[in-house]
Amino acid sequence: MSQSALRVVARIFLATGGGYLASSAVMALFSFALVAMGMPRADAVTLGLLLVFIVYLCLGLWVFAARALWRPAALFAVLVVASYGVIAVFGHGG
Amino acid sequence: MKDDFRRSMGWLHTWAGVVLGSILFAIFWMGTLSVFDCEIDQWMKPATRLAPAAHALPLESYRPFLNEAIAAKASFWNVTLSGEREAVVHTHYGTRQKFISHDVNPVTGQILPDAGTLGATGFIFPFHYTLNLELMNMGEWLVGLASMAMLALCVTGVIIHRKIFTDFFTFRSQAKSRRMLLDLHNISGVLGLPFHCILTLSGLILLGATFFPAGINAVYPNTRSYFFDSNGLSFLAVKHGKAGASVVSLDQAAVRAQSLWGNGAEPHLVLVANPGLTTSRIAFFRGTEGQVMVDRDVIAFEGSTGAFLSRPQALGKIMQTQRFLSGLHLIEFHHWVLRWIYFVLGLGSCVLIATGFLFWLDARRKRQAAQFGFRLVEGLAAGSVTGIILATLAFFVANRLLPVGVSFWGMERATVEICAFYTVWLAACVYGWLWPRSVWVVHCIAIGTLAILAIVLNWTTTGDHLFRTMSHRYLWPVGGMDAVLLVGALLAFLAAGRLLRRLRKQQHSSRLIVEAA
Repeated sequence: MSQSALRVVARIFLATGGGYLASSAVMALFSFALVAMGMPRADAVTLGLLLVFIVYLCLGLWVFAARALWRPAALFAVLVVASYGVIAVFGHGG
Repeated sequence: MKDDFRRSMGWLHTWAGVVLGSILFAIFWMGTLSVFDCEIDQWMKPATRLAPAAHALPLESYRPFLNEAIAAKASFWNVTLSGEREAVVHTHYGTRQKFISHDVNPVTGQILPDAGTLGATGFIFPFHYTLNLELMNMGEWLVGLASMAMLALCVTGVIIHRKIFTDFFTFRSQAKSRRMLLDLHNISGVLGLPFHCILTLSGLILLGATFFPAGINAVYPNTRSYFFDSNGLSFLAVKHGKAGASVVSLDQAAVRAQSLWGNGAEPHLVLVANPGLTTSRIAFFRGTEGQVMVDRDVIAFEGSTGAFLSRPQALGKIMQTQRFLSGLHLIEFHHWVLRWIYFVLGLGSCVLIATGFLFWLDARRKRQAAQFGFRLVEGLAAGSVTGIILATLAFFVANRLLPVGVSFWGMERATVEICAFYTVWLAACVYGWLWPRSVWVVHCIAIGTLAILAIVLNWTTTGDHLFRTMSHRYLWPVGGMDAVLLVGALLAFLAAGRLLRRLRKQQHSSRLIVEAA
């Protein structure tokens, strides 16, 4: 496989897979924070579900528009780590 | 990706469309048909073509079916009452091994003969969001991926436009085919843009709990408890009780549920969980055909004593928003004009996807016609656009051709119908790969023929021809289906005629070139 083809494949994986993990992480953080601030759980999760697809869409499009891939890759990694970290430290499963 | 933003988005638009276009067409096609799922059911199950009941039977008339479920040690039993669109009453129960359902005549309370078909509510509608792939929920995830791609296609499609408002009003029907295809793609895309975006997004949100469990698991122990909590179904989380308990009068419980709802609301579905056990529950799900928002407001009673158990709190603003979006997608409200507009807009989405494919092919035909990739997409396009339409028609024709109770090689009648669907779909794809030049003409002629055949078979097997169905109000669903098939057949023959003329002209001109050389 040529290098440019490899780069296209990497971009597709980063946009779909990486974008998915990152938006999952954003939603988890968001719902967790809302519940911590006193919103009922069902409302917090539902609001997260209403917004998460737009977040995923924006992150995915950004990957395809970005010149260098390291920037989205780095942000996605930070989001995933932060989400796991926060939920591992402050509790899980309500 | 590319040097500038617009070209990157153009690249994404092209390739996301080509790669996921087939799945998207299948989703939109099946979704468009699902707008009229109950009506198609009536066409496919002639025994359910009944005049509406003047008075609903008391719920206790369905007690024998509940007793059947208790005897079978079912974990739940429910009855869906008939309404303006559902001509018959459905009862279901599920045991560990199997899922049994009956269609019941709402006037006599008798079981209707098994039609031996899954119909639109059992095959076409689930196909819309699972692609009939149940292995590891793969179908749902593919639908999710394709829907995300659809959102991306909507956004990138707008970005790559230079003159969106000019394109709005431009359709050059006499122009070269490539120009015309692009105009058609733009018009169906831009005029239907709100529909494409809202329906795709609301569809994703409906399955959101499947796609984003991580967000739910951050605050709930599991997805199930979110589902129970957000739908007011927490009363279902009970332990298995002892057997031998009775279930109190369904009608008396219904009266209490109705007085709690007020406003003359009626139950649409009555559920008995753990029937016959000491922990049984009776729950009433409110009918919501009078409003867009889906708000079932489930009222639950203890099954053995009739004591009131639970009613969810009034929906908050966020839940209302989500339920409104669900309602926009599921169209459980009754409004014939809006329902037809959904159908037409859905067909518009199908046109959008099909013309996208055709434009891709037309723009590359001169340079790449011999390449493997081009041939692949060419076959795929025909197979997934006209192919799935043909397959659906084969499903309808098989439904009218197969005698009731027939079985082939141990397959039940309903399975044979679905085999007909897949066989014809596969054949249509293979034809597209083998004979790409003539595939569109042949598919169009086949579509027209099968559609006419379906109308004729409906007439000969049930006696319901268009004049009869149109003159009886309760047969309009059947007549409407026949009328749509007729219009579809005419359009298909018209398209075949145009394509045939163009094919002849091309052959003629290529012969001239050969002779001149």
